[in-house]
Parts: sequence; C-alpha cells; structure tokens
Amino acid sequence: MKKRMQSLQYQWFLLPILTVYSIFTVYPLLKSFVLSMTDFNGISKQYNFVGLANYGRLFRDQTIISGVSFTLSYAIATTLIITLLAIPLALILDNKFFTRNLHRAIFFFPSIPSGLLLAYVWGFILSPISSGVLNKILKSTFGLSTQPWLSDPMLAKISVIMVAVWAAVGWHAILYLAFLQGISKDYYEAAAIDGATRLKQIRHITLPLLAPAMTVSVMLLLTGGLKVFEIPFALTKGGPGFETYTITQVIVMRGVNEGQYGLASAMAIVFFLIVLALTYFQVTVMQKREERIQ
Amino acid sequence: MKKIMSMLIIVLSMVMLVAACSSNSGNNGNNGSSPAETKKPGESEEGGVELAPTTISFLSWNSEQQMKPVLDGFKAQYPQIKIDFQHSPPVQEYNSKLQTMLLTDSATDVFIVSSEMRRQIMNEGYAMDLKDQPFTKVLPPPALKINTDLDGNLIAFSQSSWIAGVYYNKALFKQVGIEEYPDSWEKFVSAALKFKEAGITPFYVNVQDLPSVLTGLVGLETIQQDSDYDKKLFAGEKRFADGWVKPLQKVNELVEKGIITKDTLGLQEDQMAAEFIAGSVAMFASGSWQASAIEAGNPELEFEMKPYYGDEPGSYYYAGNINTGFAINAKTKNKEAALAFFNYLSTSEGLQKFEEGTKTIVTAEGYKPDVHPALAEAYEKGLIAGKIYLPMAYWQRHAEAIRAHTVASVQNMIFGKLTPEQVAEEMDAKLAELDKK
Repeated sequence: MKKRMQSLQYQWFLLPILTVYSIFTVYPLLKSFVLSMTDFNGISKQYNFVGLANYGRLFRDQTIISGVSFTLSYAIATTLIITLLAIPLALILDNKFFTRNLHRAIFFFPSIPSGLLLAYVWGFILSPISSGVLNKILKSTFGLSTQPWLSDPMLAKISVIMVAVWAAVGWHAILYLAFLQGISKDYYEAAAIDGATRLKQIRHITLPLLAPAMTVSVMLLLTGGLKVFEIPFALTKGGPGFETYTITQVIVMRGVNEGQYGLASAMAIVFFLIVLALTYFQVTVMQKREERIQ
Repeated sequence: MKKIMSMLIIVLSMVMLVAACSSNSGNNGNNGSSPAETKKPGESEEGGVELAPTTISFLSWNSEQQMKPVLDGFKAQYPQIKIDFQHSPPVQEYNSKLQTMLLTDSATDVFIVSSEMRRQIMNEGYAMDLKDQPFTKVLPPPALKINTDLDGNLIAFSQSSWIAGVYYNKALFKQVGIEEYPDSWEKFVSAALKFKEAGITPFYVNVQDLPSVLTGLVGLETIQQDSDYDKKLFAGEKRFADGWVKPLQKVNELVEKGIITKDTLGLQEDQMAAEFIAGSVAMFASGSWQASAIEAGNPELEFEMKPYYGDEPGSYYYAGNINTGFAINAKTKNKEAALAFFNYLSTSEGLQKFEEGTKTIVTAEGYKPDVHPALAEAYEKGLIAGKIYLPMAYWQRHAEAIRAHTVASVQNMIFGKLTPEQVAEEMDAKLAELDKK
C-alpha cells in the first residue's frame, strides 16, 4: 500500500513536466505531421489537405539532396574527428600538472557561448581576402598564399567542420574526463606491476572502460551533427551556392522563407524518422560493445 | 515537517516561475491598453492632448537607436501615448517574426511592410486601409502605387526610398589615370581591368543577396524597354529567360575577366565596405544606406555613387525602390493612437527626424531631403527620374522564394558551376514549381 502511495506521489510530481513536454514537444510533432499533408503557406489561415503529395516532392528536390549529402558528411566527420581528439585531450587533462584547472577551463570555454556568436567571429577570422585574420597569420608565419576559406566549395565545407570541431572538442573531452575519474586506480596499479607501459595501459584498460562514455558522446555528436543549423548558417549561409546547406536549413528555407510549410513539415517528419532510426541503431550497436567489454 | 517545507518551497518557486512568464507575455504583444480605458469617439488626429492615454505596440525594421529621434519627437508631442518598441533585424528575421505574429493574431498595432511580405499582407487583409487619411497627401505617386492593393486599399505609408549604384574612389581613379567615370559598359570593364593590372581590387558587389549590379542591369536592359515585363512574366506571357539572360551574361563577363572574384562568395557586405573605406577597392556596388558609414569610417575618402551604364554611352539605371512602409494592424484596438503616430510621421518634423535617425532618403511631397553629397547625382538622376528597379517589388508571387534561390544560383554561376542561361532557367523552373503546388 505504501509503495503504491509512493509511486503515485512520484507520478503526480512528474505531471507538470510531462505537461510542459507534451505542449512543447509532442503536440508540435503531431501538428507537423498533420501539416505535412496540407498546402499550408504560413500566411493564410485557409489550407487544403493534399495527402502524401509533399512526401513525393521531397525526393525530387535538388537542394534537399545536396543538403542531405553535406549534413551526412558533416555529422560523420565531426563525430570522428572530435572523438579522436577528445579522448587524448581527456587523458592529458587527467594528469596532474600545475595549470591543470586553467587548461580544463580554457578547453571547455568554446561550448559556452552560442554557436551563432562563435560562427560570426570565425567568419571574420576566416575571411577569404588577404586582410582576413587567418590569411594574414598564415602569410606572415608560413608564407602561404591567401586561401579562399569561405568562398571555395571544398574549403568552405572544411572550414565549417573545423569550426564545429573547435567548438565541441573541449566539451566532449570533459565528458570523457568525468568517466575517467570512475576508472579504479587498482587496474592501473595491477598493470604496472605486470610491467605494462603507459601506452599499453591506455589501450587495454582506459579505452575499453571508456566504452559507456563513447556511447553517450558518439550519440550526442551524431544527432547534434545531423540536426546542426547555427554554425554553417552563420559562417556561410549555406553558400557558396548550395554547397554548405544543411537539412535543417533547407527545412527553414522551404518552410519559413518560402511559405511551403506543408513540404517543410514533410521534410521534418522524414528527418525525424531517419535520426530516430540512426540513433537507435547506433546506441544498440555501442551498448552491445559495452556489454562485451564489461 | 521537512517534507512539507520542501514541498511548499517547490510549489512556491513553480508559481513564481509561471507568474514571471505570464507577466512577461503581458507586456509584449498588442494588449497594452486595459479594457477599462475609454477612448472618446471621433477624436481628431491633431491636438494630441485630446487622446486618451494608451500604449501602442510597434514592430520596427530599424533599430531603436535609428528610430530614437522619431520616438522622442513623438513623445514630446503626444506624451500620453506610450510606444512599446519591438525590433527584428531585416530581412529574413524580420519577415519570419512578422509572419508568425500575423498568423497567431498577435501582431503589433504598427508594423513595417517589407517588399517580400507586401503581396501576402495585401492578399490576407492584415493591414488597415489608409487611403482616406489626411497624412497620405505627402506620399508621391510611386509610393502610393506600390502600396495599393488590387481593391484600391492603401496598406502602408512609405516615406522613404533607397537607391543602389556604384560607389567609386575618386583618388584611385586618378591614380591609374582615369579622369572621368566610365559612362558605358565597355569603358567600365576596361577601367576595371586597368585596376586589376595595377594590383588594386577593381570591384566589389555583395553576392549574399541579389547583386545590385544584376538588378540594375535588368532595369537597364529589360524594364526600360518594357515596363510591364514583370506583369507579363507573372501572367505567363514572358519568362525569366526573356529578360534576365543578357544581364546575367554581362555579370558573367565580369566573373570571367576576374573583375568579380570568387572571394566575394565568402564576404559579407560590411567586410566589403570596410575594404572600400580602407581605400583598397576602386568600385563598390552598394546602396544609399552605406554613404554615411563610409564617410564616418574615412572622412578623407572622396567618393560618389554612379549608375550602372549600358552598351550605349550614357544609358543608365540604378537599383532601388520605395522603402518599407509603416502599416496599421487591421485588428488593432488602438486605431486613433496609431493614426496619430502616422500623422506625426508625415509632418516635416517627423520626416526630418526619420531621416536623421535612419539615414534613408526621404521621398515625400513638399520635403527636400538632406541628401548626402555622394548621393546627390543618384537622387536626381535615379530616384526623381524614376530609373530605379527592384525585382522583388514587382514579383506578384513567391518573391522571397525566388530571390533566395536565385542568390544561390548566381553564386553557383560565379564559381563556374552554372551558365547565365542556366541561372535564368532555374528561375523559371522555381516559379513553375511554386505555382504548381
């Protein structure tokens, strides 16, 4: 009886946040699904039901296809690079040295200001003309010629990924650092007694025991990478041409700017399903790996 | 006891949170006047003292700093009318915000009608008809025409215009030995090449929006010959390919000759302006909004705005348009106060303060604007003579969608992915796609 009372108490306590969540997340999702089957244009209160016509149009739209291809390469590239950089960084920050806390703060800092702000500043640094900050530094230090960072299609993509990596590496390093604290020192001692070098210790103790952290970090990076909007938009506005358009930008363009809310909602629903499937797949695979290691 | 106390604290903080949020939303939007306030019927717009105290909400295209002179002047004349000032920066952010507000019936009493939203606002009847108001007498015919919908309702009050052409650095021209600004397309191209040889950046134009060189050339090559081109275009009698290919080819010529470089793809207009101010660019295609900024950045720079010249020496056109207009929400509860505000805007003091704050060119009957010396020629030969063109102002449907897509297509042309003919084809395809839905 007391247990039932307790669980009822918990449920009542969760009611407010459940209401907020439903209003701000579940309801808009359902409404989007309904709107995806209409020709709502964002300005008029009248609209008609068009069935699945919007879904059919999705696969014929050029900008969507180029948006998907860049978003995928962005998500995969940032996930890979950030993971490869964050783990060594976490290991370094785990050591005891004099300015350890200061360094932790410095690396964590880029994740605090809004991505939009960071991207605007980087936009100035990466200015493609000779008076741009990065170009000036490269010229005076290495004698390199002016690089068209944000105007050349390939360099623009690389610049966007570079800025995104810079912004997120510190945060994920701190995440790994937190998990590192949970690894018992006994393992290292035992390994040291057996004569294992530092590198061997990292390879056979640290990395496997970081598996749960990797699951979380990779999931966040993948979903964040697929949903990205601010950094590419603020750096290049999707340009040059359509080269750095992301899926979210296409949805916003089609929906808000062009008033094709029906089509944009259809896009959003399909996108939601894709991210859902990918995340489920990724988490399942990595959790199995976790279990194997443990 | 502890449990009860902690429960109480949690409930109290939640209540405070909800109260804070609701009082916030109470201040925004257009429910500023309480229902208890009465307004005397049939109030005249003059004699501010007779109007009951109220608050009107205003969504502005210009920043608070730019509107300050107007707001202060209005407050001095009508101290009992408070203005709840809201702002969203142009263009896309402003349009998105206004769209959301209109759709949810939470639009401000007064808002700005942008070129992209004008058609939709007309079609849906979101703005109050102003045609019988006394202050419309200061509007010149083009401002009346552009803001009048198909039923003859005047939906906005536009007291200013903007014009865009080529700012040129007089000192740099003298340096390479060019005495007079080139008055034909051919001369313009050879002047640019001369600058290139001398190692000076010849020409910058903002390609993050429709380049003004392109729209000016469309005005010159197409609109000058056929002022009904856009009407025919949207009636299906003409295509973008008919009027835009030649201007696109001219712009492409600049790209092929290295006069418009790929750098421009990664630059914002402010960065280009900074380069012009620093004296490293010979010609900068931009608009009247930059004139005072350029002067402030470098008071010693001698510069002037010139038009886009065509193949025939002396034939010219500018890009430009009647500026965004002030509109009154058709559903406003503060009609008299809003009209009083518009009345103030139409007085010579209101016009002068608007000019002072926003630095736009006021085009109103009976008012001589204080035009920046660099814009004097553009004002006479462009605005007054009516040789200005902005495509979006005349596109009857899907203006923003076609504009956004064309910006990307032109960028594709600049880095060589598309030909001028293909850009025009894409514009036609986009219009067809949007019309089909």
